[in-house]
Amino acid sequence: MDWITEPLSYEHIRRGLMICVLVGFTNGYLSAFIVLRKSALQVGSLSHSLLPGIGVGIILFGLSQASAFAGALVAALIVGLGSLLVARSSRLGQETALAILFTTAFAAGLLLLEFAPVNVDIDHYLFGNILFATDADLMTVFWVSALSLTLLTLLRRPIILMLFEPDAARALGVPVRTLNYLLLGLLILVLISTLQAVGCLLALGLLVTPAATVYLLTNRAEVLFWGGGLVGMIAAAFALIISHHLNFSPGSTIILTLGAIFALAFLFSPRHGILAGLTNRQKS
Amino acid sequence: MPEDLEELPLPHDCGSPSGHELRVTGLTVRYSDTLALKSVDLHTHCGRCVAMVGPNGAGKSTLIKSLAGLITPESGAISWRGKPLARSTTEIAYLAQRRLVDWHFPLTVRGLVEMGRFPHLGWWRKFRESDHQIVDNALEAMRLADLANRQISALSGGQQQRAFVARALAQEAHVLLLDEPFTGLDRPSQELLTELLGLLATGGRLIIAAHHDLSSVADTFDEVLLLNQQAIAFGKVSEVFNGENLTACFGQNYDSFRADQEKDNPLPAHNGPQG
Repeated sequence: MDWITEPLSYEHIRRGLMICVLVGFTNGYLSAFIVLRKSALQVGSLSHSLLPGIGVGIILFGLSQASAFAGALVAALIVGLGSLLVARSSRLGQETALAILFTTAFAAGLLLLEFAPVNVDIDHYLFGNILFATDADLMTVFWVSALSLTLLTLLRRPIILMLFEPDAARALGVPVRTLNYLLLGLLILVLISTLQAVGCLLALGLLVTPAATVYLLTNRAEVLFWGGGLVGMIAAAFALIISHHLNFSPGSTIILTLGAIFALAFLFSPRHGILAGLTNRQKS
Repeated sequence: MPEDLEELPLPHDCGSPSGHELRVTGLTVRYSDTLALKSVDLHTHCGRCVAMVGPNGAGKSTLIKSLAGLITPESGAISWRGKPLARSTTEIAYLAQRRLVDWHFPLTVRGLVEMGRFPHLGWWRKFRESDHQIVDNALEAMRLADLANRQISALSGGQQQRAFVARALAQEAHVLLLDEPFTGLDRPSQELLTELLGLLATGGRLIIAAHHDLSSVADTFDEVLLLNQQAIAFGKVSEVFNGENLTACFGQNYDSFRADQEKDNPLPAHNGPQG
């Protein structure tokens, strides 16, 4: 077991591991909602739009975690709500509107960070820098996880009803619009708390892959949530340990591990996998 | 009535027709600049099976959604049991068109029917024994008991439609609003659904369905609303479902269309022409 205990003797890896466990589980749990709602693109655009927010935050308030956090929050809100507005008031679909908004925002963010008065390592924001996380980062991740997991668990019944059939849910008295905004708000918080671990380019993988993997293995929505959480948590923690041994970048290793687990499920899922599909076809 | 339907939680005192009235007066609905419904009147009550018939774009879905409280009308009123329709009520169940449902959602038949209990249980409370019993009875009544653990995508069209009716029963709804429930079903499934909906109406519920197949209106429904933005005619099928009203509803197309059909298929013609 040396390969586990040896890295744990370093404080920054212990802290990183705790962040991986929290971020992995919360993202995995939330990914169930995103998979059921088929809104991966929306999440992708939100995560990209965090970059200009961080840039503006750092330029206005200096290089600190808090200023990056606040800037990212405002940017995500603007893009999230802006896309709803653009889609509602024009003939473009929301997906088109999002694609325009987030690429524009992302490009602006890159330029802003290049010209920022302080020296910023853009790669940290793009791909994460979990080994440089502080105790304050860990506390942020903890509280965001606690808040979002509690709310999502309490509200799971109306949320599932809404995701399955928004109209029927509305007819049954579910406040669909409020819940939608709440989900969007939690999503943004979780995205920002995930930045430290995997960065804004890779955050999408952590927010989609876990439940998408479980989706290939189960027919029950319940399993999707807890299963997604477990897959995210185990993959993130495992990846951090291996990245230490292989001297890989932790963020990329986390996403690669998730991708590998997904590939396994995609090939070998007894019900929905490629191989099962092939053998079934041969039988019939 | 078969025994399993008697065990369903029937809406209390639905037997007295005057008690459970659904009344629509002067309902007008507009989507930005398009008029969808123009001053529609309708008056019916529990125990009836009502068809809504009209060409595409006549406003059938709009009327159904209005009755479900999903659309705010520009003017007019809907009253249910003598009171203005509440924004959301468990007494009215809305069943969307089958093609609009995400059938790959990870959900079993039982899970779908259990959703009907959510408004009674609120957001947190656990299922009690009585809730499970109601779900069982609803599945039984819709002939789905042995399919309860199946994924909803693995059902036939008729079974899917019945699963949604079962959810409305678990919800203890008085009024079932169905949008094209028979579309895409094979003949035996259509007949079974007709029989079961008829039983529910006899048992005291009000069934309102948007309907496409003119040839089956007389066998399936008691009352019919001929709709083309306005209510062309409303009443007993035997009284208002005639060539004159159908022509008024579907336009001149209906005449020529019917002439083609009448050779081997007496009135009314099979499918409403487009337009």
